[in-house]
Amino acid sequence: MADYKAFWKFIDFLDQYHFLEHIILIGSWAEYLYQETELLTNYTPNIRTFDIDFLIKNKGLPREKQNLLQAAEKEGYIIEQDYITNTSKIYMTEERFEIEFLIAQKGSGTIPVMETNLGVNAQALRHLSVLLNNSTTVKFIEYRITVPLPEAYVLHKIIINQQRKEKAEKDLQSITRLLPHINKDICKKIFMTLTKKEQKIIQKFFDENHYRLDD
Amino acid sequence: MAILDDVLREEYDRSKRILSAYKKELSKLPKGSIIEKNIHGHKYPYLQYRDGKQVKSQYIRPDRLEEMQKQVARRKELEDAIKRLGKEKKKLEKVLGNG
Repeated sequence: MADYKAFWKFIDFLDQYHFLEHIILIGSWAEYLYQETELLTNYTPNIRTFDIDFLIKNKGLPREKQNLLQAAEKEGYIIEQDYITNTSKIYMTEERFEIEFLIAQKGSGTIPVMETNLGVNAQALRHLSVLLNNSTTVKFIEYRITVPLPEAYVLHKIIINQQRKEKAEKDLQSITRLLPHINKDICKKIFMTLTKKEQKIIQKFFDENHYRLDD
Repeated sequence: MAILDDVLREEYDRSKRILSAYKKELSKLPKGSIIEKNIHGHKYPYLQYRDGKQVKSQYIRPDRLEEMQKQVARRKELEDAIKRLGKEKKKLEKVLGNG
């Protein structure tokens, strides 16, 4: 089980340098915050791994370029450029966390990695717009952290589930745990903003699992 | 059981990547420990390290001492982290049958 102290230490670092406002916490640590901030009540999150993933809101912000990696190195973190993908990764010595950055691939773009004004090379992936466009800022202790709305989080997991190979089953477990807790009205609203292809994938999933947004 | 297997395999692959990053970082740092030598009544800081079978010492200039102390402490931190992570990796190897 991953250590909360190390997670909060990294959040504190991001906050001190004003990086937090430019990123969205996604993945299993977003689920942890759903529970801690009571964004979802009576919800027990999935297993938290040693991955911390952040979605960069806008590659052009902040307007004045920053260097998150340099700041992280100064604070004692280990920075790496993945030698295959060239994406930036951050590691810590007190816990075996691997911190990665993602960015939404928009339109017909095919660039796998994007340089950002935060000074990190982020992996560009499709379908992240649903998280980007449907997020909320939660306050926990003294930190203001942006996370995807749980409804957007679930819909995103459904959309990408077919591509996930070895992680598909774990994601499916996450989806089925979350579905009873989400707000169907919010889910419907988000669903209507998705592409036809994304809607088709989600509808197929709902049909196969006898789940209705209209109930 | 398949989910647990996937989680463990993911952790194992991550451990390998992190170990590689730790070792790369370690290679940038000086080996040895900082000692004081008393020469003609004055104390001078030296970096003492092993070079094969020999123990060598290298004088540390006063303006470089603080930086060297940080680097030596960092090396120790990384060595401890590598040891801990190495043990975790071995455990995962056993469970996954990779050992």
